[in-house]
Amino acid sequence: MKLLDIKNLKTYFNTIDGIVKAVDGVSFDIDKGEILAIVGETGCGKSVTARSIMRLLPKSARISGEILLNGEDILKMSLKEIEKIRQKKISMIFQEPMTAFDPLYTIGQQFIEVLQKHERISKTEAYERSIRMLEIVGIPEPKKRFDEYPHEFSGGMIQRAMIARALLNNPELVIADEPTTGLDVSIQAQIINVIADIQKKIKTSTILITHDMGVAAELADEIIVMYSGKMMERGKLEDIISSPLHPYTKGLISAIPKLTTKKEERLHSIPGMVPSPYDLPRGCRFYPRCYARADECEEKEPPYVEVFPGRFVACWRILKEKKELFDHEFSK
Amino acid sequence: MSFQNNAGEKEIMKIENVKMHFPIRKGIFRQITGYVKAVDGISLTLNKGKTFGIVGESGSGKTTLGRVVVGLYHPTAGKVWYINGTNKYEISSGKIPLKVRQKIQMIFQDPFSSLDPRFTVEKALREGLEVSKEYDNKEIRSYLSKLLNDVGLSQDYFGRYPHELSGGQRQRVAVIRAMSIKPEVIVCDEPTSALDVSVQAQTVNLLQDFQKRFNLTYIFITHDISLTKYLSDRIAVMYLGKIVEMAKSEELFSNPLHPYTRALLQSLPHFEVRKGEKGRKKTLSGEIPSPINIPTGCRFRTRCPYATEKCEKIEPNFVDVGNNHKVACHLYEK
Repeated sequence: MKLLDIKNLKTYFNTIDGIVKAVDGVSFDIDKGEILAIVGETGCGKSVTARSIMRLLPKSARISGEILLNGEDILKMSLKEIEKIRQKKISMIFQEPMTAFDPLYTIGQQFIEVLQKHERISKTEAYERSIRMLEIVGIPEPKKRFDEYPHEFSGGMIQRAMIARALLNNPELVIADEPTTGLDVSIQAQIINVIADIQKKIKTSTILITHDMGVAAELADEIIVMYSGKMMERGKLEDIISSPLHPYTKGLISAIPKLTTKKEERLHSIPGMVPSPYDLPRGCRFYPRCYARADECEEKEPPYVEVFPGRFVACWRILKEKKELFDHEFSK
Repeated sequence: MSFQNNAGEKEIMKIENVKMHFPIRKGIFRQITGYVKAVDGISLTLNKGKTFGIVGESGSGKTTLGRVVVGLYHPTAGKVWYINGTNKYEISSGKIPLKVRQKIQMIFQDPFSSLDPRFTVEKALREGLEVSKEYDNKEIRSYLSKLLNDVGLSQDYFGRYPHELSGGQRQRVAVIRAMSIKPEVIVCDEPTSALDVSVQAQTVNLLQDFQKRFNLTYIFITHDISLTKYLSDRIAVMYLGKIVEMAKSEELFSNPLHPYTRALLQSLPHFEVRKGEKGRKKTLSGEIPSPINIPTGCRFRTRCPYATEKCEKIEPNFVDVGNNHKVACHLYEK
C-alpha cells in the first residue's frame, strides 16, 4: 500500500465572482521514504493541494476526491480525527517560518506543546527530545536557543527550527511548502542540505512544493509539474530535467538563466501569462501560451496518461507522437 | 576634460568612497547609540551602455547603494558623480537641477508597492512626464501608448488600476515609467525577484531590448547570480557594505578569487541531473553578521575557511591582481 494516494482531488473555492477551480483533478501517490516535488508557478494550485491534504482550508473551499493516508480517507475524517493526524502523521513546513511560530512563546514552549499534544510524555522527556531535534537540524547551542523567542532567530535559523518542529512527532509524511523561498543562496543551500540529511536519517516521505526547478533538482526523486490547477507532467527527476516532454515543462526549464547562457542570447520566455481562474481556456489550459498548439488543443482537454512506465503527460501533441517516442525510447 | 578610460569606454557615473551609515537612536532623548553601516566605503565607475551587476546576500547593503546612486539617500561620506559629456554633477550633494536628476531612474523590487494603488496606469505614467515638461498634454498620450505597445500592453491598460494587473504587467508598467523620461542610467533593484520564471524571462528580455535601443546604462542589483552573469558586463560582489571582489563578468566566473565569491558560486543550484546524494555538496557556513557590529579586520573572516590571525587584525586592501580584477583578501596581497 502506498503511504499517500490522492485520487482525482478537486478543490474549488466559491467566491463572489464565481467558482475558482484551484485544484482540478489531481491524482498522485507517494511511497515511503520518497521525496516528491510539485513544481509550478504562482496560481498553479500547488499550495492548495498541500493544504487540502492537511485540511487547512477556509470554509469556502469545496473538496472532492479521495486522499488516502495508509488507506484511510482524510477527506472523510471529522475535525477531531484530523487533529490527531496533523503533526503526528503528516506535518507541514511553511513558507514564512516567522509567521508560523507564535511570537509570544519561546521556541521551547512551542516544541513541548506540540509534543505533549500527541504523546503522553513528561516535560523532561519532551525537553530532551526537543533538544535532540534542534541538534539534528543543525542549530548551534540548542539548550540556549530552546529558551529564546522566535524574533531572536535569524531567517535561516527559524527555518531550521520550523523543520525541527515539523519532525518532532516522527511524522510519516512532511509537506514542505516553499521551504527555501526568500532565503539567501548560502542559507538556501544550508536548508537544502538539512532536508536531504534528515531524509537520509529519518526516512520520512516528503512532498516538496516549490516554484524553483533548481531546488527540486537537488532534492526530489520524482517531479510533478502543475499548471493552472492541473497536472501537466510527472516523471522521475532525471527524465523531467534531461528530457522534458510537455511544452510547459520545457519552457519552465529553458526560462532559467544558466551560468552558460551567453549575453547575446535572449532568454527563452513563455509568452503571455497564467490564465485567470475565472476564465479558463476551454481545452488545454496551456493552449494560449503553447508553441506547439494544434486545433484540437483549443477544443478538448488532453487526458493525463502514462506514456511510459512512471511517466505521465497531459498533452495532445505528445499523445500523438507517443508511438514514435515509444520506439525511440526502446531503440536506445 | 574627457572621461574615457583605457578601453575607450565612456564613463557616465563615478562613485567615490561612498559611506551610508544610519544612526540608531534609543531612549527618551533619542541619543545615538550606534550606527548601521549599510554601505561602508564603496568606489566604482559606470561605463555608458554597459550593465554593472551588484551581487550580495540580504544585508550586504546593495539596495542602500542603489538608493544612494539615484540620490534617494544623501551619503554620510563620499561622492556620487554623474558625467554628461564634459559636465560633471554631484548627485550626492542633493542640489542638482531636475533635468539632470531625471537622467538617473530606478526600477524597484516590488511592483506591488512601487505603484500607487489609487493611480490608474495612465496617471502613474504621466506624472513623471508632466514634471519634465518635455511633451504637451496631447503628445504624452500618444507617446505613452507607443511605449505601452513596446512592452506588449494595449491602450486598454491606460484606465486600469495596479490591482487589476498581474505581477509581470505591473513590472512592465514600472519599466516604462522609468524609461519614459529618457534616462541615461537605470538602477534596477531586484526587478524580477517577485516574478515567476517565465515572466522573469520576459522582463529581462525587455530590459535588454531597451538597453540596446537607447544605449542605457544599468546597475543591476540582485541576489540571483546566474541572472547577473547573464546580464552584466562587470560585476561587484558585496559583503557587509563593502565590495570584496570586482571583475569583468566572464573573468569573475572563470576565475573567482575571494573565498566569499567562491562559496557563493559553489552554493548555486546546479541545474542538472543529480549524481549521487541529495543536497548541495558545498555550502557556506553561518550567516552574515549584523552591520551594526562589523567584525574587526576582514569582514568575511567569521565565515571564511582560510581565516588567519592577520585577517582578524588587518582589513585587507582592495587590490588589482591584473586584468582589472580587484579583490579584497589577504590571500592575494603581495
